[in-house]
Amino acid sequence: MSEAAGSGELRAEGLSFRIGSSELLRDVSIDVRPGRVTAVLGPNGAGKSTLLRLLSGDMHPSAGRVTLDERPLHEWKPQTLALRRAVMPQSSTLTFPFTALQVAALGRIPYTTGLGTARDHAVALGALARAGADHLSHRLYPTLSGGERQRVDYARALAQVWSAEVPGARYLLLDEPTSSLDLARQHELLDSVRSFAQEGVGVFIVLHDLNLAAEYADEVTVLREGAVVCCGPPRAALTASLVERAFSLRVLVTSHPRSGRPIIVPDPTRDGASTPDPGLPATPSLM
Amino acid sequence: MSSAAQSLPRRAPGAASLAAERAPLVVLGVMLLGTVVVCLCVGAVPVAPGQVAAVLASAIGVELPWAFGEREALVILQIRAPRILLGVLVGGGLAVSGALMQGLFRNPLADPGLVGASSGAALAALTLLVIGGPLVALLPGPLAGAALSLAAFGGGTLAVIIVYRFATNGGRTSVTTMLLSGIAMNALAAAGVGMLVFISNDAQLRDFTFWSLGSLGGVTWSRLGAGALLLCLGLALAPLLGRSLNALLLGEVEARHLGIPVQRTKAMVIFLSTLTAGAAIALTGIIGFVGLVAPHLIRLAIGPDHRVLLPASILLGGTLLLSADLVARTVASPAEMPIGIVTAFIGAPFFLWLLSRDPAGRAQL
Repeated sequence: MSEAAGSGELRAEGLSFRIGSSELLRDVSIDVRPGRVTAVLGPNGAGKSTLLRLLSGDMHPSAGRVTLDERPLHEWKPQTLALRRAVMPQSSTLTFPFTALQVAALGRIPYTTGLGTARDHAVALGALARAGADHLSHRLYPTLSGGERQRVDYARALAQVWSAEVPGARYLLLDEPTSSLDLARQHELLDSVRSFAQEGVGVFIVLHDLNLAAEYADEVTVLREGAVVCCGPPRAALTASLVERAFSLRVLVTSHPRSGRPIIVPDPTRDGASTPDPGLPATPSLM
Repeated sequence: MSSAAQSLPRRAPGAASLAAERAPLVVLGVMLLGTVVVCLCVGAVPVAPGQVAAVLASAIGVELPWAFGEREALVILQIRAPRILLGVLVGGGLAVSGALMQGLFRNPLADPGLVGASSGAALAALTLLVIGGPLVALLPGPLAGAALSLAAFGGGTLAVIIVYRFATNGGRTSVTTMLLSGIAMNALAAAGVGMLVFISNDAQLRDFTFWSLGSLGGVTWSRLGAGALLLCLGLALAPLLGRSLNALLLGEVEARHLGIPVQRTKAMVIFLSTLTAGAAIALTGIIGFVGLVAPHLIRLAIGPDHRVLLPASILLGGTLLLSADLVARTVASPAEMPIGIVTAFIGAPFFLWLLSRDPAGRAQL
């Protein structure tokens, strides 16, 4: 199934990013491997989106480097890169009255020169279906709700890396793709992400919900104040002590009765501390 | 959410929908052609369609069985044909220039005037009319005849270049800064125009007023010249930007993720928009409304896909301007009304009516 084994990876090594005197990321390394879902977690302002923007090549790191197939990202031609990886932004600024189908078809831009082909059209429809948005295909994008837009944006990203049309693994970078979705839709979308990954696509996903990450990610990286607190498979990385260190919130970690994956619930009553101070440093002593 | 691996819908409805994408261009092409025929026939000297065909055929050495006189041949070939070509090119140029700017600014209200193309041209034209007389007198004949066109083209282009330079820093153009410096440029040019109006005499003022209302009148093949060539170039190149503009509507970062060279696209959009609007204004004076309305009508009817929108705007812009010119030259015949009056008088109420019915709800967006 996975075309990817041994065909390289999207890798960040020792990334730091500074704007003026504030350091948004500090010595962060992460591997996004084909066929795997890599989630990044962390409190607000931890540097999750900054990491995504460095991995996508929007910004250049102050130190460290990002490579795709062991070649620095900035050496790739944008047109070639667009055939290999798609990025789904947190929100879209599109205000022109495209239909949802047209928006999904915009993901085919790297493959077309003139008007779209029948295949592009079919891919856009297929991507909408996998995003659970096929019933929206003829609705105008600006009239959709936030959650509906999010699924259409996701479909656009899927359409861009729909199948292996050039050599090398494909990558999908998603910035909080479930932030406007209801519970059922969150799971639908992440289920689709996982099945896409199983086709050999490397997925990097920024998430807020620890339990979604625990359920769907193969690897998680937890950031706090621009630095990595922990990384590894969810079961190893999402322990109570590490989560408490990252989020300054007392939590209880149990495991899912069927999947055995970790479940994290806040436990503010313990020790009487109800309002954790985000300014506090790590509190391992509470364990 | 289907999880079946790369399965596409079995019966891809692609072909039908692709034909639907191209159909508007065919319809608009036929409309433009029909308008051209009507414009060839109607006027102070009415010519029957058969005679028009015979005149045009005889011009390329083919005999057709319709009799026509010297007078009809002269009217068709020397008066109406160049005027119609001018109308098609200028209408198409204004419309595509508006469509390009609206795409770049991601705002359906944008037009080249926003970044100084019209006000720069107006200032330069008025400068020439009011204080440029002695300079024109020094120029050789053909150049003197084209002095107003050259001044308008130069003024409009210069204004946009200045605005573009202000908005470009370290090789990146900020669209927002362009908009703001465009506003400043327009204010400055308006002040300059006011100053010149203040010192101008009645004749100069009247010339300028008519120039600023636009006209396709008095055009000959030789006067089409370089302006028409520039317009042809712009009209041929602009539709190639459709794909990139579609991507830019998502945002600059998103467009880059789709592999679009964003800065080059922005520079090309500004260049072609200025070229087409500048050449159009140079040939006919300022004709409002077409650049705003033609792309808007297309978006209302078939949506904002710039791969179709750009060529469709050209066809519709040509049709609209020819129709307006038909009214301008017949309504007060033998006198000619400035075409800008017609485009606004007919165009604005029609546009309002269209907004009020708006079947797809697109205007609400």
